[in-house]
Amino acid sequence: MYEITVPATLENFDTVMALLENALQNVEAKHHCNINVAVEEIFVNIANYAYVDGAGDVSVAFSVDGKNFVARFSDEGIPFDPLTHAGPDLSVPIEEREIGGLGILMTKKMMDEITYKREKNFNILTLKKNL
Amino acid sequence: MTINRTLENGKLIFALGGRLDTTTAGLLQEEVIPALDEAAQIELDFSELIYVSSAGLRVLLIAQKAATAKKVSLTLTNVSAEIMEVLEMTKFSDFLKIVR
Repeated sequence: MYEITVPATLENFDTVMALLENALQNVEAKHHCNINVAVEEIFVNIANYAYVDGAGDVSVAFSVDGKNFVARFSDEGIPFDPLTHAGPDLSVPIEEREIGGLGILMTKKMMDEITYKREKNFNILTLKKNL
Repeated sequence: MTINRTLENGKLIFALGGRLDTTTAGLLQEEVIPALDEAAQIELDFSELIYVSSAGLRVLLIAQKAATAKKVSLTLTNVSAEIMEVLEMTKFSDFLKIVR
């Protein structure tokens, strides 16, 4: 298990991604792109939106058991369930394409299971990818 | 991320390496947007790129829109299967010119 708790800011993005790289050292390279994208999207979302006023922490934990990769994020920010948000419309022409929501859409498509729960004051989001 | 710029027969080639993500996407934007005034053909060589996140896609969208407006040909080359999956999943493959 690879775990870290850091202030939820973009300054800590590289620290989290370095931890992920360690966690993935025995995972086949073909899964790295998908897992990196999903972890980045969730971390950046939390860093940008979880704490409306002031600062707070985010805890990130990665585990690999041979069959599955699991990433767990928890923060004490505003309640936010990414699963309930509709993604952007992908059928519109380039002039009307929007980036908002694209990260969550990719995360949903790339992971095999995503669960969200609000426990006490915590948002707990778990991503699971079959290896 | 690394960005290596070369000029080949009037075509500007940016060879990208590493991660096109939240922290590096801005660097690519700063390189490519001004380059649209320098050459009629621009190629982004993805061969050493590990992955592209939505922040990277945002820059590709901005670059493609600007390239179209300036009548510059923008091409992505050597796109890996993993990154192609991202481009297809988001339907960015519908409007980007991709040579694999």
